[in-house]
Amino acid sequence: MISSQMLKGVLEGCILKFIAQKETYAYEISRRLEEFGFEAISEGTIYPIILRLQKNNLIEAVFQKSKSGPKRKYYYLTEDGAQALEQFEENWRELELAVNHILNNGAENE
Amino acid sequence: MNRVKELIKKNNEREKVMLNENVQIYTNMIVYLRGSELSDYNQEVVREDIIALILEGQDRGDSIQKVMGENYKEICDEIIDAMPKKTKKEKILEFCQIAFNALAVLGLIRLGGVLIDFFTGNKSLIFTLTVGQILQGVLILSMANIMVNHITKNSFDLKGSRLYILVVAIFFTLILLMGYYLKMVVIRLAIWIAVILIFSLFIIAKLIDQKLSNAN
Repeated sequence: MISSQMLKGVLEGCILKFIAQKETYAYEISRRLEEFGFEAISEGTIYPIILRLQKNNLIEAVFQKSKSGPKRKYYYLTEDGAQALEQFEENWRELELAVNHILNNGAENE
Repeated sequence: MNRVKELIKKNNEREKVMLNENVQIYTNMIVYLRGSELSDYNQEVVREDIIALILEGQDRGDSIQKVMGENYKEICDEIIDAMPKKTKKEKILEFCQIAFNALAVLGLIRLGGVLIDFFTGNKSLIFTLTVGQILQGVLILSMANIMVNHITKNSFDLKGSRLYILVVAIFFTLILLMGYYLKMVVIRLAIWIAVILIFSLFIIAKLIDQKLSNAN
């Protein structure tokens, strides 16, 4: 089980990535996270992260018509958001490399 | 209509189609958010989003538990944490708005008492306030504040604690005793001055409310 603090940080980056790919909304984000292997992330978990991204001007919201009825809030990336995503990708690769290095070689040195 | 009131009206309308089984948890969440430091406008923005998430879930056949997850309080805390908070100035203005409004309402009630006394032929048309009545007003406002605070902070687990019931009982007893015993008159005004003062309090409260709405 990933700790909630770590999960939130990772989710922020993943949500930015989804939004960068196309304008999207909370439920679609939660579905896509599930498709990519995150265990049942509800919209309730995603929503505060979206608010934080909005507060930091990384994404903005726009109301658009939905097929299901009333207008729905779609989110799109801002310029700051694009930079933050780039930074996240860079940080994640460094972290992934370092952790993999420890996990793969650390055991051999013991 | 200012944009806070517009949003309140829109949200009130939209929440009407919420299914009964979702209403209880939704209400608890909104009550909890009402006790937070979010501005009225931001509370309504969050409410609008929560309603949209729940109604969309409803259309798909998903329960509020599935849409929101099960840690409602934790989600609300994260929402509050992620949103801009009221500034000190906004907090002071809000306090003044509530206090002036409450004083005006209490003044109006007292005015009603004076008029009833006058028309039943018992007293003259003079607006008086005794020490007991003033202290009663202060206690009523304090108790209302404590009750609202208690309800909003404990909306997910609202059981009447013994201590809380005891505090409310003591307040009620004090309010009754003060009105009965402390009858020394400290304020004596001609009725028309009292009417102007009460009316002014309402106007000031309304102006502050408008200022707060425009600031959001």
